[in-house]
Amino acid sequence: MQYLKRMLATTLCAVTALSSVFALSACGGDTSSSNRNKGPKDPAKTITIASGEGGNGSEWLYTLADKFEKAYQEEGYRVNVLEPSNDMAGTVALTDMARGVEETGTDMYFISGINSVDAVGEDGDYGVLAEDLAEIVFNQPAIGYDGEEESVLISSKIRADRMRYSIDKHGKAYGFQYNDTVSGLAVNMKKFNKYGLELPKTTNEFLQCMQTIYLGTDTVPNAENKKGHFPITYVGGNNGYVVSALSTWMAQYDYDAYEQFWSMHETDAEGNVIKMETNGYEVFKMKSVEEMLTVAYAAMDVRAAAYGSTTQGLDQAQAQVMKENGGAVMMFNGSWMMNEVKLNWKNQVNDITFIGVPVISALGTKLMGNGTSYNLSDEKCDEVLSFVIGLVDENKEIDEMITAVKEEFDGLTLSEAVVTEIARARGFVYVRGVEALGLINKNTPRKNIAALFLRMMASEDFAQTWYETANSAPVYSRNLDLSKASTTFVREAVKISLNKYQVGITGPRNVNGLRESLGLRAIFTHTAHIPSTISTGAIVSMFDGKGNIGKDAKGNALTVQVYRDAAKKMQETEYNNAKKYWKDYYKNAGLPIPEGVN
Amino acid sequence: MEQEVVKHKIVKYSKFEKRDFFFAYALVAFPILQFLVFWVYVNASSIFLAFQTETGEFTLLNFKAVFSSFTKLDTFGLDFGKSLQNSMTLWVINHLVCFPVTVVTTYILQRKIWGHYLWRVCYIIPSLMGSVVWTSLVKYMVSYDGLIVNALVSIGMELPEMVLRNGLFAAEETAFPTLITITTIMGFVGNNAVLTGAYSRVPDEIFESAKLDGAGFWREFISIAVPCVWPTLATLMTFGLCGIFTADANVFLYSNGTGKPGMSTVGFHLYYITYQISMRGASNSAFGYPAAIGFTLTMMTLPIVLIGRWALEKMQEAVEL
Repeated sequence: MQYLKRMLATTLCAVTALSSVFALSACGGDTSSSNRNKGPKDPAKTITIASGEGGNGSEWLYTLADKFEKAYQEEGYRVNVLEPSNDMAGTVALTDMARGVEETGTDMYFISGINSVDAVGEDGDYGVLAEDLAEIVFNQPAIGYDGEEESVLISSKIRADRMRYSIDKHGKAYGFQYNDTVSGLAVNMKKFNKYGLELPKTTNEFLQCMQTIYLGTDTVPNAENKKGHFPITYVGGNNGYVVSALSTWMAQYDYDAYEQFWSMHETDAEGNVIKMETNGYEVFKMKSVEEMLTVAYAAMDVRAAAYGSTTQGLDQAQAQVMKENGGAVMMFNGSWMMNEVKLNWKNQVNDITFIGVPVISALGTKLMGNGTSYNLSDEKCDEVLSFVIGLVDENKEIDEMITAVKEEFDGLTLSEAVVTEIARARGFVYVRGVEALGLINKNTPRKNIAALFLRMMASEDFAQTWYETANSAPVYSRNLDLSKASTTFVREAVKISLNKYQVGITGPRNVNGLRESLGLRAIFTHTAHIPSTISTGAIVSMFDGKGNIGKDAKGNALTVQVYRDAAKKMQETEYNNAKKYWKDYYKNAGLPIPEGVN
Repeated sequence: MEQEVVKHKIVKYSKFEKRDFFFAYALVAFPILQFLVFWVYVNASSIFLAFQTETGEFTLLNFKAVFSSFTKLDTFGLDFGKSLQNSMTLWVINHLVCFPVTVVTTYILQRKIWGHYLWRVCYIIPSLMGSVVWTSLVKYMVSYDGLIVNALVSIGMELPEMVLRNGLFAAEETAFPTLITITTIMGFVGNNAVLTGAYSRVPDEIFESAKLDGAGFWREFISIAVPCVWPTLATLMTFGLCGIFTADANVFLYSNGTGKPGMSTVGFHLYYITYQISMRGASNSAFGYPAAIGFTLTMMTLPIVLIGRWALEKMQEAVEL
């Protein structure tokens, strides 16, 4: 018995000791084990990179590391890629940077979840954490995989609307942008094609698609029938995917108003920019807000959404779109979705495609409807709007579009201003990729090697690598071989990014001016999250919940007016609250209350 | 004087004793350090924050904002009064309903009724599960196609459309009652393990002797079991009083981080405000408002806890076993 006990104890000790040894070796062992390059490394010539994993995976990083080492074989430059981790984001990443290169040994970071590049600059909690990339990267040419410099400077390869997210408030370019994402709609074409519909380009077309899918056709039963499909699904809670669409609709309708909305600054008759100190709440009364909310109510209609939509998580929502039977046909998502679904739905990845956020139809009536020189009916406005958007998607020039409209619509001659406005609206794309930044750790002795690495990242060669491995669009190139996309979804998403009219917008990340000083970062002040408020509030729907159009108390068929009524109510509530608490915002922000504010 | 010197000479530690002594000190030093950093410093810092503006000057504005939020929406658009009401409701149910029931049921199980092992396992399992696992399970059960909704429909209960489409946590009418039900179930099992331990320390001889004297089941419970485990009961009740405003009832997990519809509790409310401020990228002093809420709640809780503790000590003298 004693012997048995001793044997048991010895065995347990051995197992514990062995498992501890293995566990510890995994923790603190050779961090370069994930790097594909073997052989001795000179610490003075080896850069260490920490990276988050995120929706784009890490294949691109290893590929680039290989190419970099090959190009700089003679110089002996090597790359040590630490095991990518989802934890390496936001505050965790900043804290790691704050420990300094001497302690962490990390020269460079590729991270996301940072609200603004200011976080690594002078205004950040830890002071300056990164090297200024202006001279060592942006004012240098990119470097190809063969080690040769390209003919143009990197600063000329990045669009101004993206570069602004690399520069902090003090003008220092700490961040290196590398991911051009697009927000929009994922559409399951296998389900969508059953209804004989065309992919929507305007919000009216989108709502028409929703209506057709919900009501069903001669061949497909309505959504409430188990053999039918619901038009839409979304992620419950405070998810940001629909918020991206809300910001886009506001920008599409009136970009100047959109800028005013996020800054609470207005321009007077002389062109001077004035802070709306006493009446900033007036921005909540804008027409673009009403139009945005109207579409939001329709798009979030609980009866048109697949069962479980308001309480489900991201994976469940994606499953609703990916599954063949039941579920939903469309979902607000982004270009990053492919990497999230390919693991569980690898046989269905070619069923889905991606479309940009439909352009708000109210723009058409604003530009060409009643009260304009064109005086077109609402239906005609939408038809013309949709036609022009199709041309924008094909990267046509403005004059080509004017000519095409003239031919298509019996001599209708749109002005250059109108077509430009439509092209501009179509080009607005909510970009979440600005959250992803490449950063060189402050005071690293290897900053020049790290800078070479970033310069290679800005090359045409890497652009194609990024597209093929990260399933996303690059920031520094528009010359891609699109045929090499892994799926239709990726190709279509990247096409949107590459469109020459594309301009990135970022909604709440764009908060500036007085609004920023008051800390009013959400779209609304008293409705913290518009989509969740709509989906968890009283049901607003033009459908009856049984597969038909609903009827009002008098027996008349309901129309989209129900969404507009609800939108107006929400807008009014927000406006009244913002007006009521205007003084409190100053108090909470510790700012002096301006004269005239009661 | 001489005696003292002699005493010093007598108290002489061996090498091993000294080593043990340092070892014991080292063990205690870590929790003390942790207490100083994570309790003393954190709380002191919070109290200072409550009296500061975002620019760092002394102010009582944060407290004015807290008091006005009792009756109207605060600047975050949240209804603090409603959160307070929800927290109080959950606390009353948990501590005035569930706790006494748990004291009785645990005792019944302790007396080894038929099938007590099975019952005990059923009681213990939920408290062993992590809250994320437990909430996922519950969320599935109360979803539109889950066990509960299907059962309610099959017995002919008329449920709101929102429930039929999105489950019990989706509708204003059912979300908070569902939360109460779940909290009640968890409340029944919550203190089972602690109370089982306390009851098992009571010697069987006392019960046998009471039985010989003709005491029935309930007499044994009231006159023997409860007095014997009273220190444990008093401690648990004191902890309960301390958590009167802070228990969040896993609202974050049940409501996908929104507190909607109508499920927000004080614990969740505080988290939500703090999160919103941190998302604004504001300086640390911007946390003055949630700090003031915390301070106010502490001031409200403190007399309740002190009086409650005093009353609990007065109610029953501890029994030495």
